[in-house]
Amino acid sequence: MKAVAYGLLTLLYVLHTDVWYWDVSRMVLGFPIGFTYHVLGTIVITGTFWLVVRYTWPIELEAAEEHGVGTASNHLDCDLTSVESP
Amino acid sequence: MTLAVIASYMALVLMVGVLSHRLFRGTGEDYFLATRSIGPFVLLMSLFGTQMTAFALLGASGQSYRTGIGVFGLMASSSAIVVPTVFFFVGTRAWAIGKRCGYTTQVEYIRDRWESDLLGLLLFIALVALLIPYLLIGVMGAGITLADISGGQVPTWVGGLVISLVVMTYVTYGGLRGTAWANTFQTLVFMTLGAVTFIYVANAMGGLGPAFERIAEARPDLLVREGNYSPVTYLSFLFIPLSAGMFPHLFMHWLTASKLHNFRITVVAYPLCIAVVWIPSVLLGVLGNIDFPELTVLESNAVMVRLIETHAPEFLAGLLGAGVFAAVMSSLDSQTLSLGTMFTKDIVLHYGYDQKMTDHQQVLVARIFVASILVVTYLLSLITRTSIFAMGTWSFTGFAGLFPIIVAALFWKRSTKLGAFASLLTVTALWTYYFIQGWGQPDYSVGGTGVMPVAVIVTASALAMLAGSLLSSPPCDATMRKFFSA
Repeated sequence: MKAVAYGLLTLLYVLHTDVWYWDVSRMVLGFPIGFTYHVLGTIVITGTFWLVVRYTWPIELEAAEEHGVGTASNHLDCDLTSVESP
Repeated sequence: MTLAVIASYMALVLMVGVLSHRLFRGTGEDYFLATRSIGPFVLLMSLFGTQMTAFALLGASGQSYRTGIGVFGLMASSSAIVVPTVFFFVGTRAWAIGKRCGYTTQVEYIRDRWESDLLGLLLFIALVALLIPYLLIGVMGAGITLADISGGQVPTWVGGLVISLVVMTYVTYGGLRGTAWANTFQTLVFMTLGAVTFIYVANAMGGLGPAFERIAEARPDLLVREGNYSPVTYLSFLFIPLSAGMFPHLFMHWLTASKLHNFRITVVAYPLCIAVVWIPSVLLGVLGNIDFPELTVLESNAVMVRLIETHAPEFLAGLLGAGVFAAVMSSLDSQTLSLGTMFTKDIVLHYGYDQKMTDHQQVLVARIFVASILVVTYLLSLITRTSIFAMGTWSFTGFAGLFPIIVAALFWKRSTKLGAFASLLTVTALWTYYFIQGWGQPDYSVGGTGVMPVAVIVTASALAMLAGSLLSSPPCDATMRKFFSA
């Protein structure tokens, strides 16, 4: 599912520039199609981010919750070794 | 009536800010980051409210008045996909590192990450310089709104002054918790009022269908992208929302989350929040051409206000004014506080007073900086004359150009301070060049190709980071171990 979520997200980036409706003024759902397309797009984007959050959440970063907050005086010595590199 | 509604709203905001002060724990950590205790809903509202400013309401409606419905795809749906991506990949990691190391600002992190004081100082200067025009958007937006709503009776300098004083009061008093609470309240207000205003005005114009028929007859060019934007412009505008990764005020808000889990609702709900705010703004801007066909660029920034005056009762005009003020203040407060925090942490404390100031003194210094920044911004707003949209775009372009720096810091172990220097200097040089070339030309693109300068700047910045890093040695092993697992 991780690949699907990231794949969908990438696809949405590609589909953002909708050249196929560039000069079309037809009304769809009461609005010009170039507008409707992007409004509906935000709903699809929401669904995609739900998938991304659901299946690709960086759970390893939550380890930071178990540690106390560093201070301005010790942040040069902070230990981040349990935070995995992405 | 209109002014009374706005005045009442201001009093409400002040009350929310003052109420939040009752939870103030008296520490620097609490003033700067609300002791990293913010829950998911307030995190979403404060992050979203901080991102939306007069730019989203006045700038967007002004721009769609001039160039049509394409503004939604250009700015709104692009933000709807890019900004949550940035929150998901960059925000969550910044939160984890910030919490473990006690960072409050980006400069603290970048300085440690690449072991360079000078890099931190240069980044500080760049961030402050880019944030000033963003602050101006808010103060100017307030002035324009109040002047228009009052039919010119209240001069533009009054709106800016009022908003500056209100923000100064609750930010200096309540710190980040006050700011987050006020943001949440104000975000709910402007999201609701934008929608209500749109429905009311559209109905008063005889409904959306007939209104669009009139637009189709008079200005069919506004219903398509052809002739207004090229696909290349659209594509390159996707780089603009990358600015969210380098905004100091967003970085600060990320660090306030009590748990990583709190980012989930923000990432998922952000696109919907964008739609709620931008749909009314863009449509009202386009429909404004029916009643006001010949506004200048500056006048078009207030097209939404004019529509309300024409089609809605005075009470609603007051509410819309309050909504615009809400959008403006919910950004201005965070931006001002982040600047105050940066001056305190990255300059005063870092250069000499780290062990010499009590928490109380730190908070006092930050409050003085917050007040000073607002005074300077207000004075600048009195002499600035340009489109809110243009000013916002140039500010965002600069922040987006710096995005490769935070990405390299978080994701590329091998990146070096030379790479970061190269990236920063490349952004400075290119941004200055394009700014000089393009200032005063609303449709400026690189060589007239439709490519926005931001695309070139981000690409060049990334390449400079790559080249500079590969040509120099990475940070020492201790630093590498500190920020990355073996």
